Amino acid sequence: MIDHSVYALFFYVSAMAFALLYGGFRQKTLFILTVISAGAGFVIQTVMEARAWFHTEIPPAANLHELFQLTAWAVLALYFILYPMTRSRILVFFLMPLVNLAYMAGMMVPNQPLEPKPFYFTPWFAIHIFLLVFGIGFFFVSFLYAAIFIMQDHSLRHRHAPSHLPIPSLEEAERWSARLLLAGYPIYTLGMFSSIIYGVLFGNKEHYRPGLLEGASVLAWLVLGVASYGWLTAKVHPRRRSWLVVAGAAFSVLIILGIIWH
Amino acid sequence: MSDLILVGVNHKKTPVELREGLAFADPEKVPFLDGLRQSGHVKGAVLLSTCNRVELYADLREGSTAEDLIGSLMESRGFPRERRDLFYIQEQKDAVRHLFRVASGLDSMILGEPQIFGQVKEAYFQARDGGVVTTPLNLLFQKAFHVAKQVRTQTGIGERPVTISYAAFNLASSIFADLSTKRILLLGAGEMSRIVATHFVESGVKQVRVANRTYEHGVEFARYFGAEVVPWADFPKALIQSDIVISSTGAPRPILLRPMVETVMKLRRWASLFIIDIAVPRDVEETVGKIDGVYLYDIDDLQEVADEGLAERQKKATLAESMIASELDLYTRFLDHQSLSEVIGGLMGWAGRVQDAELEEALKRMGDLTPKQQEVVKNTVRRVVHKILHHPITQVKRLVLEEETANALQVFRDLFPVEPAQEGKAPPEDP
Repeated sequence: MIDHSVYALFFYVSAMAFALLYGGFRQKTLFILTVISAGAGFVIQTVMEARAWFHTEIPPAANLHELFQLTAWAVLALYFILYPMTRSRILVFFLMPLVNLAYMAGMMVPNQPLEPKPFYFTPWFAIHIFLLVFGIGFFFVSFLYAAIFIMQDHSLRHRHAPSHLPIPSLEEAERWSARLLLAGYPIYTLGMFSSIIYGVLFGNKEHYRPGLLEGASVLAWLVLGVASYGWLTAKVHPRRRSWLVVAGAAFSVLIILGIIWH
Repeated sequence: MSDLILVGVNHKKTPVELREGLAFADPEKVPFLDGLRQSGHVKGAVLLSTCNRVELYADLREGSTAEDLIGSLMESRGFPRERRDLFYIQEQKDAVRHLFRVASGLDSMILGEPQIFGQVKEAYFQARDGGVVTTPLNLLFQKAFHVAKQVRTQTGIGERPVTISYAAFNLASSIFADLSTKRILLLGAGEMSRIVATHFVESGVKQVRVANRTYEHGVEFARYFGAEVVPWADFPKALIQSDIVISSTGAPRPILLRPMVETVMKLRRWASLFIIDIAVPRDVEETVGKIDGVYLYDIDDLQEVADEGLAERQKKATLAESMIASELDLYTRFLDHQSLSEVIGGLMGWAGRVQDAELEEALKRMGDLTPKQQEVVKNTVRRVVHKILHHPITQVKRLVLEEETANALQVFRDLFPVEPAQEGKAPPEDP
C-alpha cells in the first residue's frame, strides 16, 4: 500500500525547489509556485493527519514519526497565517528547507504502532500536543528570523556589501523574531502546564520518570524565557537575544527527539 | 519595420558644456516635436533629454534624412554647426537596440542606474500627450519598457550600490525597516556630508539635525535640508535620539570615542546606531565599531561596498546584453510578422475585389444559370485565385520569416498591387 505522506512530500520538495529558485531569481511567479506547491502539500497532510486521528482516536503526535511531521505542518500553517502580516516572501527560502527537513526526518523514522495509554484518549492529550507543537512552531519561525538577524548583523559588522538575498532588515528581523517568540512562549507554557495539570490530577506519581523530553522542555522554556525577558525589558542586546532564540530552538528539537524515550 | 531613426548626443562623446546647450526643458519638447512634424520630416517622434543625453527617436517620413533631424535640433538650440560630428545616428534595428539599452540603464554613466527608466517613460508620455507618437513608436516604447523591466527584475542590475552615498543609503536599508521613522545627525558641514545625507533626506527621514563647531556655518548648512541645528556641545545628547550619524568634521583627532558611544548605546537600550564616518582623518574611534548595535563604516568601507557593487553590475550587464539581444530578435520578428500580414492582407483584398468584379460580369454574360451552377462557377474562380496566389505568398513568408531576406517584402509589394491596410480592419485569411 502506498504511503500517502509521499504525495505531501512531493509537493513540499517542489515548494522547496521553487523557494530556493526564488531566492536566486526573485521572480514573483516562483514565489506563487512555492505557495501553491506548499499549499497543496499542506492540504494533503492535513487530510492525512485528520484521517489518522479519526481512525486511531489518538492525536497524530504520539511517536517521533508523527511528531516531526506535525511540527512541519505547524510551521507551515504559521507561515500561511502570518504572511498577511509579515508580507515576507523571502522567508520561504529559509522556511521550506526547514519544513522539508522536519517532514523527511519524520518519514525516516518508522511509524510504529502505539501501545495505547489511557491518557492518549483524553482531551488533555490533544490540548497538550497542539499547544506544544504550535508553541514549537512559533519558536522555529522565530528562530528563522533570529538567524536572519544574525546573518545581517554579521555581514554589517564585517562591512560586507548587502546580501544578494533580499532578506529583511535587522530591525524587521528582530521585530518578527520577538513577536513570534512572545506569541509562542505563552502557548508553549500552556502546553507544558496542561500536561503537568493532568499528571497532578489524574496521573500516577510513582511512575513519573522525567527524561530527555521533560529536561529539554524545561531547558527550552528557561532559555526562551530569558530571551523573552530580554525583549520585553530591552536589557539584552538584540544579537544576544537572537542567539538565545537559536539555542531555544535547538532545545525544541531535543523535545521532539525526547519522545523516543517517553 | 517603419522608418525608425535615432539621432543624439550623450555623455560618452560630448562634454557637458555642449550637452547642456542641446538640452530641452520639459515645456519645450512638444512644441519642438510638433514643429518637426509640421516641417514634414517626421510622422512622429519622441525626445529624450536628460543630464547625460539628448536623443530624438523619430518615425521618419519618406525623403527625409537623419541630417534633417540633426539640422533641426542644432538650429532650435543654437548649437555650433561645426560640432555636427558629435551626433550619432542609429537606424532601424540598431536604434531599437539602443533604446532597449538606454531604458535598461546599460548605456548610463552609472551602469544600471534606475532613473533613466523613469526619464524614458516621461519622454514618451510627454510626446504621446502632445499627440506626436505614431503607432510604430508606441509599439517600440512599450516594448522598451517591457524589456527594461525584465532586465531589472531578472538580473537585479540596479540592486547593488555603486556610489559612496548610495552605498551608505543601501546599508541603512539593511539595518532599518523604515527610514521614515529614523533621525539623522550630521556632524560637521562638509560637502561630502551633504551628498551622502541627500539620499536619506530624499527618502523622507523623520528628522535631520546638524551639529557644527561653527554654529553659523551649521545654520547655513542646515537650511539646505530644512534641518534643526544642535549646538556643538550638545551633540552627545543628540546621539541618543539619532539612528544614523554622518560625520565629516575637519577634526584632527576622533570626536566619537568608545566610552561616549557605549554610554549612548546603553541609554538607547541597544537600538541600532549606524555611523557613517566620511571624514579624513576619521572622526570615530575604530573600536566604536565593536560595540553591540553599532554599525560603523568609514569612507574606505563604503568605497569597497561601492566597488563590489560595480563589479557585480558589470557581471549582470553581460546577462542583460544577451537578454536584450533575444528581446530585439523577438521584436523584429514580431514587426516582420506584422508587416507580412499587412502585405498579404492587402494582396488578398485586391485579389478578392478583382475576383468578385469579374465573376459578376461573367455570370451576367452566362445568362440563366441555376443557383447551384452559379455556386460551382464562383467556387472554381475562387479556388483558381487562391491557387495562383498560394505559391508567391508561401515564398514571401519563407523569405521573410525563415531566411530573413532583407527587402523581400518590398520586392513583393513592388510585384503585386498590394492595397494599404485599413485602420481597424482585419486582413483576410491566407489562401
